[in-house]
Amino acid sequence: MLTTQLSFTFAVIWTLTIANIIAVAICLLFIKPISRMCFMPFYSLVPLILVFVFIGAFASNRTHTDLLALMIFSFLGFMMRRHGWPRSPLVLGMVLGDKMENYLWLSYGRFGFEWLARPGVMILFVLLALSLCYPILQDWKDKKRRRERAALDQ
Amino acid sequence: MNTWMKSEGLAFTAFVGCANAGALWVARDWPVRASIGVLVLGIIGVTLALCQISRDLRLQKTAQDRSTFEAPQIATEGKWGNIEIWSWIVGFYLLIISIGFMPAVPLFVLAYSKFYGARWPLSIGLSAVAWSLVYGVFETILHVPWPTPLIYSVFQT
Repeated sequence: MLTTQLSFTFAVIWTLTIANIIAVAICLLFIKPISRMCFMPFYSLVPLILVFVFIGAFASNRTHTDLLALMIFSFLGFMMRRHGWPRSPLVLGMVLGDKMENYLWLSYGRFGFEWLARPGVMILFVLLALSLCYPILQDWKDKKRRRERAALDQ
Repeated sequence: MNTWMKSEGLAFTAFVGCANAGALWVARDWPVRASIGVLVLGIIGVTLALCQISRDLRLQKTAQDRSTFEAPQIATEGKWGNIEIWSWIVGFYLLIISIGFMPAVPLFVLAYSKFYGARWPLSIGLSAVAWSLVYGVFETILHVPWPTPLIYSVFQT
C-alpha cells in the first residue's frame, strides 16, 4: 500500500481524520440535548438499550450462538457484580486477548523462554507483580487500622 | 454479607476455577501454537481462583466481610429485584427465538414500557421508534439475515 498506492493510503488517512473532526463537532453541538437523556425515565431507556445489545451481539457473527453467549456473559457479569469482582479486566481481556495470544506466540517462537529475561519484559513483570500485591497490601493495611481502632476503643 | 451470599461467592469462585481447570485439561494435547494462550491464562486463572477460595474460606471462618474494590452495590429497584430484570432479559431472548427479531422488538419495548407505567402514546411511540430503527438500519441498509424463528418451523410442519 505505502509503496504502490501512496495517494490512496493518504486519502484513507485524511478521510478518517476529517470524519473524526466532523464527529467531534456534531457531538459538541448536540452534547446538551444528549446529556438530557440521563433524566429520561428508565422505562424508556432500558428496553431500547436491551434491543440494541441483543442486535449488536447477533449482528457480529449472525448466529444464534452469539445470543446464547450474550446470555452467559450477562450472567457472568451479574455474578461478578454481585460478588464485587471488577469487570474491567474481563472486558480488557476480551478485547486484547487475541493480540496477547498472537504476540505471546511470536515471542515464544522467536526467542523461546529467553524473552522473559529481557529488561523491558522484566520491568513489565515487576509492574504486574506490584499491581497484584497492591490489593493484598491495602487489605492488610485496612486490617491493621481496624485492629488499632478496636484496641483504642477498648 | 450473609451466609448464603458467602456460600454463593465461594461456589462462583469454585466454578470459575473449574472452568479454567477444564480449559487446561482440554488444551493439554493441543499443539503449542493453539494451546499457548489457554495454558498461560488457564494457569493464572486456576491460581487466582485457588487464592480467592482460600481467602473466602478464611473469611467465612472469621465471619468477616470480603473487602471489594468497587462502589457498594446499588439497591435493585422493583418488587422482585434481580429476578425481575432477569425475567425481562430471558423473556426477550425467548421471544426472539420463538417469533423472530422484527416482531419481538416492538412487542418487548411496548410490554416493558407499559409494565413500568409509561402512557400508551409513549409506549407505542417508543415501540415504533425501536422497530423503525431496527428495520431501517439493520434490515434495509445492512441486510442482516435474521435467524429463522421457531414459529416458522412449527407452521411448516
